[in-house]
Amino acid sequence: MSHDNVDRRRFLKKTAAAAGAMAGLSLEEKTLVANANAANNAPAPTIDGALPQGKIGDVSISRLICGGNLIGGYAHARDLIYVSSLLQNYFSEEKIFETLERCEELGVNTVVTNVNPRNNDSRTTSILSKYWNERGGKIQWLAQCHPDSKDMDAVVNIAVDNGAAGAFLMGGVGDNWTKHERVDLIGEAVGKFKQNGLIAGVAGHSLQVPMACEREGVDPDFYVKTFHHDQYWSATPQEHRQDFSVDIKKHQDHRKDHDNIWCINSTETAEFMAKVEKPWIAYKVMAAGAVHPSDAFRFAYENGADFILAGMFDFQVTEDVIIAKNILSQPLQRQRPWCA
Amino acid sequence: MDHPVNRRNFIRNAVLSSTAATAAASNAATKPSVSAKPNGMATGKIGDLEISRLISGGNLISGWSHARDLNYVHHLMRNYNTDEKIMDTMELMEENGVNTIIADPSERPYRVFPKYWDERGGKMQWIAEGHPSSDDLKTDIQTSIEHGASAVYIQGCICDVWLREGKIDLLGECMEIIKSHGVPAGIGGHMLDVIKTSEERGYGAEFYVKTFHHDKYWSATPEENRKDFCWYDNVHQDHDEFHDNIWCLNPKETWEYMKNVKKPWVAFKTLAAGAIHPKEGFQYAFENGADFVCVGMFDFQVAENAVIAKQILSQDMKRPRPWCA
Repeated sequence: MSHDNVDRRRFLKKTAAAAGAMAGLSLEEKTLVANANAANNAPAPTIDGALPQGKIGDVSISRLICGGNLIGGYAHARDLIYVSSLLQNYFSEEKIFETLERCEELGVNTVVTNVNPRNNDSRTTSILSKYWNERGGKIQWLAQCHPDSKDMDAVVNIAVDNGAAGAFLMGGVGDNWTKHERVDLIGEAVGKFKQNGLIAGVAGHSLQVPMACEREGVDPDFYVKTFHHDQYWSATPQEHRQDFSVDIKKHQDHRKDHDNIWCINSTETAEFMAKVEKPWIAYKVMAAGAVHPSDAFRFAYENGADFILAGMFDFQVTEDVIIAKNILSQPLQRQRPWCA
Repeated sequence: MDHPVNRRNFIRNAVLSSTAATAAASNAATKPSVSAKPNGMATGKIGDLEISRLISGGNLISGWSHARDLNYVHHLMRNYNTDEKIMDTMELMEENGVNTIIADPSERPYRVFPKYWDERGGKMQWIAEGHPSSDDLKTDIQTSIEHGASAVYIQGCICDVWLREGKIDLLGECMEIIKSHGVPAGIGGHMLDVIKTSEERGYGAEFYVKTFHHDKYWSATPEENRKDFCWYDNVHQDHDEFHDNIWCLNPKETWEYMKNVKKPWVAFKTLAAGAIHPKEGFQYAFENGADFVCVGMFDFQVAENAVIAKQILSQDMKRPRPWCA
């Protein structure tokens, strides 16, 4: 507890320092600071109490989950070419370990990262292995799986052999198989996860993914569905949004998609998920950095999410945890019952 | 305090008088287009300063990223670019032929530059952004020079706002103050009208620092919605309006006007703060008349940017404007 109080003091001190520093900023800088502050007009949060958890199967999971881009290194920064490289350079192995440790200290007990056997990418597994074995970390791993439809065992084996607590079909694959009416493959993947003793999930950017799974009797243990509002500058205007377009094409037309939107119909998503009685992990809740967590987390929890998956830098973990705890400790205007 | 003073004395001894500096800049327009150092980076002269045609931007130090609505990016930049990383990056720049940085006059550059010069033996020249207030034109400029600035220009935001508020004639006085310290004096702007007014009224700038980039990138404000002075009003939530996403509203008009300006032109925001690849951004700037390109660089970008600049500058360019430095 004393540790938490110290962190809280640091957090508030930083805020006060930032306000004081305004006096010395250029006009350009003041505009930027005012812009950033405008997104954060929520009351000051507190860090008292533990971060709440929910259960998927037998696995207890913090309601705030750490996203995997700290290892994967992809920023979804619209047309800003350099941001992914900056992220990859920032997240040295040591920095990843520090961030995961910070998450655990503050009650975030689960991380999601991807595995794709075709890319022969062992970064996820080698980093988690080192973190657990050499640093004594305990964080749980939900494996975001990119299976080959002809060899699903390969990715499942990686997840199982490397200590995953659960696995789910990644959103791009869920979209693709749903779009091409291959929900049977989604069911096969879920079956493989379960056969190997993992809690089994299905992800999608398109609402059609959970709809198809529910309609056709795929029985995952949980869903991972993108969820964010569209009240941010870089969102694609409503009339130009297209289903199944996420991560497909970067248009040069300012009004079309360019790695800038992941939930094109949040109202319909909340309405549909209200009737789904399985745990829902909401992801891309901040639209990859454009929505402030105080706004985004509340939107997600109030509209039915059981868990939030959020990418976090080490310098954001404390604030994000404070915000999540604060929101979860208050009465929420939430219609959907907690499903985990 | 000894270090800044020594640096100041060094610079004072190294530069010409303001009159001579103006003449040198003017004569430079008739000289051969580029010179190249052993490291291969072409240079030009502003006053008596020999400056690499690729200049480092100051956001390496100040941490402003102009990342549209991605509010976390400048925090990431500041966390990445520690004092040590900044000095490592400047060393890398010097190794690759980048010998000048433009940075604001604030606590961090005041702390980092002397450390870099004195403890690491760096030679990086600093062109200071001047941030004078309209009721005190002297202090900010003087402080920059005391901390080792090799040249000073009045930062674009200041000039734009003075233009908007009818105070732009203060720039003439600022030029005199800067020159009185024996360093080259410049004027910056996002608004082309700043440069036009400066030329028409003869404020005596020895170089200009003007934004310049094309608008063929996704996040650019659609042409019909671009508004003068947009940088000083609130950012919009409307996708088609300004949101820290464009800095040269009229590139064609800019290069057409600059073609007839016979003073060195440092083009900045040439990559639209990260949306344009340097290969494209640098080519566009140099071909359309810029004498120097100022670009923010992370350590992992320095080598590539230097290679790109060297390649472009070594080729024949379709350049209607003569080199003015």
